[in-house]
This record gives sequence, C-alpha cells and structure tokens, in this order.
Amino acid sequence: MITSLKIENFRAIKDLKLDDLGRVNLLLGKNNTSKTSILEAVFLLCAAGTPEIIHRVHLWRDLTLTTEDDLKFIFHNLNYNNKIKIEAENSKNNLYTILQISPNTKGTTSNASIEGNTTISDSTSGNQNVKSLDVKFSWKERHSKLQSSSANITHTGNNNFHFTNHTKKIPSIHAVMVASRINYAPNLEKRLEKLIISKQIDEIISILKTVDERIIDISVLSGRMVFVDLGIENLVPLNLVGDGMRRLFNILLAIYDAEDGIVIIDEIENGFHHSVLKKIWIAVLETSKRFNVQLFIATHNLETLKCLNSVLQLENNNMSSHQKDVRSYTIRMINEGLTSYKYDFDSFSTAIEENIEIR
Amino acid sequence: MIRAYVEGNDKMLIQALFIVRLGLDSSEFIIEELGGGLSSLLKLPQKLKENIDSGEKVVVILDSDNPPHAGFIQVRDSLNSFKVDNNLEFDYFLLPNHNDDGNLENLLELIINDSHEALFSCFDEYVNCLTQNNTGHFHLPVKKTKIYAYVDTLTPINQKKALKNGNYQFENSHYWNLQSPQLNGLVELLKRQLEE
Repeated sequence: MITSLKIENFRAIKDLKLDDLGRVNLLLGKNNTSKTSILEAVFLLCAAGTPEIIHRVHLWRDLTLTTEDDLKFIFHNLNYNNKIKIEAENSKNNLYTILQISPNTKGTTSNASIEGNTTISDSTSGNQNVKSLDVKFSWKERHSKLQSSSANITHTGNNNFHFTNHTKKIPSIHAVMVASRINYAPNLEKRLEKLIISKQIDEIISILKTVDERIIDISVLSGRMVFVDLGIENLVPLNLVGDGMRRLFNILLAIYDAEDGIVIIDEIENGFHHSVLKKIWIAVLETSKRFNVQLFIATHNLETLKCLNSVLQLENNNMSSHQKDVRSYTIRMINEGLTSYKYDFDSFSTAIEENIEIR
Repeated sequence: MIRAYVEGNDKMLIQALFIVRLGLDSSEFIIEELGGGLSSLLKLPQKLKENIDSGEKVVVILDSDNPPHAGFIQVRDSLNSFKVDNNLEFDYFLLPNHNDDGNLENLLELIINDSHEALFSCFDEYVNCLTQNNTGHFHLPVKKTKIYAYVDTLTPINQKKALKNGNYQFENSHYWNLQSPQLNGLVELLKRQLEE
C-alpha cells in the first residue's frame, strides 16, 4: 500500500505531496486542481516497468502518441526542463520508489530562429525537439541499497514509437485505472474469463443486481464480446445495457483483478443514479477490503460523499470498520501552487455533516 | 475576505453585526455555522488552514456555555491548544462577553430594545411561577424560550413565518439595540479582522 506520494512537474502539478495515505483515498477539489493528474501519476508509478504506459495515460485524455511533440504533454507547462519525478513510500517491505522521466537530449536540436545576424535558441525554455524520453526507476527496500533501472521511449518516425524494456526487473504494483468515461474496459473479455474460471462471477452478478435486479448471467462469447442475460429472449451485448451497470461492472472487475494492488477510479459517481450510491459504496468498500486493494478515487460530487459518510456509519455489515481506512484529500490552488489538505474519517464526517465545503 | 466559524444559533447576530456595525457587504464575509460548536471546530483544523493559506481572515465565535458541560475557561483553553497544536493563527470570541460562562441568549438579554423591558419582567414572573410550582417535571431555566417569546411577542402575525425560520430580525432596531456597549468587545474583535 502506498503511504505517501510526492509528485513534481507532472502535467499541471508543479509540486504536490500527499502524506499518510490510507487504503481508501478520496481526492476532492474544484475543476482544474489536477485530481485526474494525481490518479495518472499513481498509475504511471505503479506501471513504470512498462514505459508504453505513457501511451495509455494519453488515451484517457483523448491525446494520442503519434508525433514527437506529443511526448511533452506529460511535462509541467509542456516544458522539458521540468523533469518529472514521482516518489512513493510503500508499507510493504518499506519499499521506496522514484520514477523520473526526462528528455533524452542526445542528438536533439533546439528550435532556433534568426533575427538579423543573431541566432536565438529557445533551448532554455525547454522546447527542444526531443525525440526520446529516458525513464529511470529507482527503488529501495528495507535494509537494501538504492537500485536503479532505465528504459526509453523513442519516436522513430512515421507516427511510431519504440519502447525499450527496463535494464533490470523492477518491483511493480498491479494497478488498474477506471477512467471517468463509461467505456469498454481494456482486456475486459480476458479479465471476465478469469472470473468465470475462478467461479467468482456469481459474486459479481449478485452485486450487479444493485443497479439492475434482472441480471441473471454474464458471459464472454467466442472470446470476443461480453453478453448479459437479463431474462429476455436474447442475450444483450454489455454495451447495450445501462451506464450504471457497465460502470459498476468495470469497477468490480478492476478490484477483483488488482488483488493486493491498486485501483484508481476517476469520478466514481459517473453513471450511477443517486438511489444506488449507498449500495455502490458498500460493494466498493467490502470488495476492496476483501482483495486488499488500495483505492484512489476522485470526485467532486457532494451526494456521493454524503452517501459514503452515511455508509461508513452503518452498524449492520460492520461498515464502521472501514472508517480507519478512509482519507480524504482536498486539493486547492494556493498562491499558484497546489496544496493538499488531509481529512481522516472523523474530520471528513464532521465537514460533510456541518456542510463545510471540502470539495 | 473574513470567514467566521460560529455556533449554529449565533449566525444571524454575527451577520447583522457585520452589516450594521462594520458596514460590510455580504460578499465581504462568509459565516460557517457549526451545529456541533466547539467539538466540530476541533475536528476541522485542515479547513481553517486552507482558509488561512488562501488569504482569508478566520475568526471563531462560540458560546462559552455553562459548567459542567464547558465554561469560558475550558473553551478558551481548548481553543488555545487547538491553535498551538495545529499552528493556526486566528482570533476568537466566546459569548456572552469573552469573560463569563454563558451563551448567545445571555448576550441577547442585554441588547434588547429598552422600551420593551416590561416583556422580560413579565416573562421572569412566569419563570418564578414555574419555579414555585415545579413538580420535578419542569426543566428550568428556559433562556431560549425567553428570547423566542420576546421576538414572537413583538412580531406581527403576518411576519411569523420568518421567526419560525430562525430569523430574529437583529437588524430591526425595534427589536434590538445593535449599538449597545454590550456588543463592543465582539465588534472590536470583528473590526480587527479588517485592520490587520
């Protein structure tokens, strides 16, 4: 479990620290306070062993990785001089990890313009024509020395990128991201097949009844498409069922898939009717605890937070046992920089009940 | 911007003081009502830190309450510890007068329009009567009822709805004397937020 996180120069984040992370972490804040960027940073750090993950992170923003210019979108102010650094402390083995991403300036040319007889280079502004990024991952476990491994992403022309593997096997945390849009999750069929084989699909179906009690079965046909049995004449492709069911299915699949790892959920409320929010929270809290999954959840929806607060005080199902796991971080822009304000359950609950704005 | 954290019942009076005594526009201050008073405030250090970091002037106005539940000294000590423990800088005022035990109602008794003093005398006689005839089922004193009765008695029938919504019409000089010297300590503290 990640216990602290420090992010430098990633997307809109110049410098941000989140301390004392819990098993369930809520990220709250107004628009443009980098909540999604924090989620992306967690994902990048966890998946640092596969540098092509930058491509995936771009896709969540509808950005593509096709030209060399696209590489700079992950850098603060789109400036290569702002080298990315994401640090985390992990409770398992006291693991300390650092991910650093910087431009590989070997063989690069600076954008230059000629005014009169003087050549003006803007390399100091970090706008070099960078074709390659160096990805350095360093880690240290309890009683061991700091180790490092490097990888590389290089634009090879014709909209192609070459991803080199890390020079060493690096410790990674299995992380799954559930993006804010309700779409077909990556590798959905394979993940579902795994659940069917391990006989866990019935549990998922019983939870999915929260949003549609008609659901009888869910299956993969010909290994290519997911169908849902709603008790009508034909099976229905998953894409044709309601947003709430698809959203909950994606979240559950992510949690089941990420045992002992991390699930990252952007705008958790998307697709859900308010009447099912409490049941959704119960399902998310219970399943994530059962599979020892750490959650990072972004939202700015008050109703969602009120439901979580009331669920955490339910006496049945022992829901109050989750209180100690919950942290809420309000991200605010202070003096042109981002600052996080941490609330434990007691403070979170007081703020919600007193109508104090923490979103 | 001034952000005042106040005990739930105190909001209307503080709002009236900002407007009448300090001449502020409603866009220049925010009043956060804390139904849980001191115990809620003590759980929100991060919110106050955020307010202060954002450049807001934070001021806290709570009831001192009466022993054994609290009292001026206990609430003062709790707030001082809260400030030190969380490295927070803000002013606070404990009703009724930042010296004695008590609450909003104690202060309100002192700032009524003098011409209606008879109303209180009558109410006091009623309470005396209750005291003499208390069979053990009457829970006295009834300070909140006394203030409510004062406002209710002065409010015409067609304006009772506002009273039910907790509006004691503090800005109405027919009811209250917001220029009373009894308010000077509190007003000075609020004014200080503008000067610093």
